[in-house]
Amino acid sequence: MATGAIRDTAAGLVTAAAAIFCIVWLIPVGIKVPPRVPFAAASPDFFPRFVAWLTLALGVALAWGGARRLLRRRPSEHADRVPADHRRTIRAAIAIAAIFLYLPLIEPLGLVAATGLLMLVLAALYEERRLVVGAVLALLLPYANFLLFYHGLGVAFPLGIFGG
Amino acid sequence: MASGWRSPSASSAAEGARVLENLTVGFSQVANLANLAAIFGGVLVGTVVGAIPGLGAAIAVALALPFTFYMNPITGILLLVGLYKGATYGGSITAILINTPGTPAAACTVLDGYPMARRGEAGKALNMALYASCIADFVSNLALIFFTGWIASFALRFGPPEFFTLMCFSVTIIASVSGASLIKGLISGVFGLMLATIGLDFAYTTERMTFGSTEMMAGMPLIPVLIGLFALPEVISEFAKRPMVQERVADIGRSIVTRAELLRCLPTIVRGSLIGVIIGAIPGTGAAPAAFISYSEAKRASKNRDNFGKGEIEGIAAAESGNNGVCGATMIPLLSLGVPGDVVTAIMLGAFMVHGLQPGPLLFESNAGTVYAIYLGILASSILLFVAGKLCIRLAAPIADIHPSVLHPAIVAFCVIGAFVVNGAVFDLLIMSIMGVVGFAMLRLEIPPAPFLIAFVLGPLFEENLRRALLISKGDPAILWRGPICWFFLALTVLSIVLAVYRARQDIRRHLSD
Repeated sequence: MATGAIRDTAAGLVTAAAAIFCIVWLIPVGIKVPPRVPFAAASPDFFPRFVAWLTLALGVALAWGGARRLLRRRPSEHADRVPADHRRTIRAAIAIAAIFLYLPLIEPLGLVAATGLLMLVLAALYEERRLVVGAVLALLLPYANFLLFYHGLGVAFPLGIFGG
Repeated sequence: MASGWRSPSASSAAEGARVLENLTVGFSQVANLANLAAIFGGVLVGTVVGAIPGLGAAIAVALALPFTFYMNPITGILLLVGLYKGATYGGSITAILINTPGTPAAACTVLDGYPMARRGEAGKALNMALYASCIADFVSNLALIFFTGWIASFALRFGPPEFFTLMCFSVTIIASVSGASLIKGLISGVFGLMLATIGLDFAYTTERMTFGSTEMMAGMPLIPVLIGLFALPEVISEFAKRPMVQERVADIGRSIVTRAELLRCLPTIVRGSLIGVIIGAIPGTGAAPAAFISYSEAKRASKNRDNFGKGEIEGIAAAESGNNGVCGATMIPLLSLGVPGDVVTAIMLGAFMVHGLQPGPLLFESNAGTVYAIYLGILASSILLFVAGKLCIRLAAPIADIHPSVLHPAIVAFCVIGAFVVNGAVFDLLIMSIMGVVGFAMLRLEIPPAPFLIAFVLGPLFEENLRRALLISKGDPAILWRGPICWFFLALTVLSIVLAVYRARQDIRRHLSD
């Protein structure tokens, strides 16, 4: 319960902060309002502003609910916590990093090779691996898609190392 | 006659001729090998995907959507319909074989399916699940065909205020897909609404939060957002989970469902189908409640009620007819009003838009032939589901046993290639990756992604109809309750909100008392 309350408080605060960011900076700077708008609701920034204020209200409500639960919790509830498994958190973080690192590799390596490499990295992250099957799949699957889209449907793929 | 008056018989004859003409046009559009292959491929792949725990119809349809981009709209839509139906049935395979429902809708099938499998009757259970699914699906498709046109013809009277109030009601679907916390569902929904506002303003064509990016001027691309939000977080969260000890896959064993067994279960299947149709036609309800209601009704009415939960074949018939009865019916509000009934139909709404079609009453005016072609294809999908299901029963055990280290990298490959091929832009992959991280964070914070998607798809329609209505009335909000149709939808909206708040309070009380 305590973990849930902390999570809700944090989620509420992040939501409220995102809403304030939208109200204070993103909407005023990001939306060009024409000089002559007949009434407020016709303006291009009316709906985003309405949504941002709604987000703020919901974020505050969630944070408030979480904080109240946190303050009311019994001391024994500390014992309910499940110890965090950092190894698995790190694996998830590596998976996310691999996906983001994959993006700049698409142009130099080509979509097929970069996707195959990404598949291999992700397969290697599992504790129990089937790397041979994974490697075969990493070769075949992107290549099959390349044949279908590049040769079959004429979609321009970044060819990278195979472009020459 | 000069005044335009026509006798009822002349009017119904003209209507009959119009339906016949549309059917002919529809048949000519749908009756080709590509469409049949798309439906069959869809149900086959959908069944396989549905049989893999953790994946489901939403992920299957989201991943396939980019591939339909290069197809004829009818072929593409039918492929997605096939996937939806296949995945809904496929969930029963692992429910029966490894005591793990492939999809939430198959949770009820576990109750009798796994005990049957342990008795060595997995094949019989799988076959009964297939028969019940196909019959229910067919009944649901007939309901779709009979009711959609009628509702759409009524909706032709709608103007922007009526559509706005309809959208208000549609947005309340968010409450029913919010899961345990209504407030978190609403937060997810408002984030979806905010993201949907990015792009050019529809009235003044001024830029909204694009910051000069030409890629964002047409709005945030649906497919990368969809794939990022639904498919990618599932894979990332797999790395953060403890590996589960997988149940042993049961042998297929005895396969034959006798004629007597089928006849005994037929009333249960018909009842379950009708329950599925009614529940599916109400936006935001879903297949899982339909399966449980059908199951409890079957148990109440059955002579063998004491055997329910211990491997009673009628229990499987009830659960599967309930959840598959929903499939066609969820498309009734989608095709007639442009309102998605659940997450999968929200994705399908996006698919229609990607193909330049706007579901709703005007679709029947402008693309009647296409609608009838889709109807005919959907009808054929029930038969093809039977064929694909029979094939998959033989392959069920290896499907249920695919190792995650092989499966999840393959899903990521489909994600990245799917997100790339629509516009051929690496920018879309960036959006997908960012949405993947957002979706993963939402999973960790227990914020459901379904409201985000529904709001993202409905957001532009909501805003556009609100502003159009206010432009008509020169800013007077009274136009939003201008007549009985507006009152009806506003009353439904209020009722829906009150029910959601009541349910949330009940949940909190139950949670505190536990």
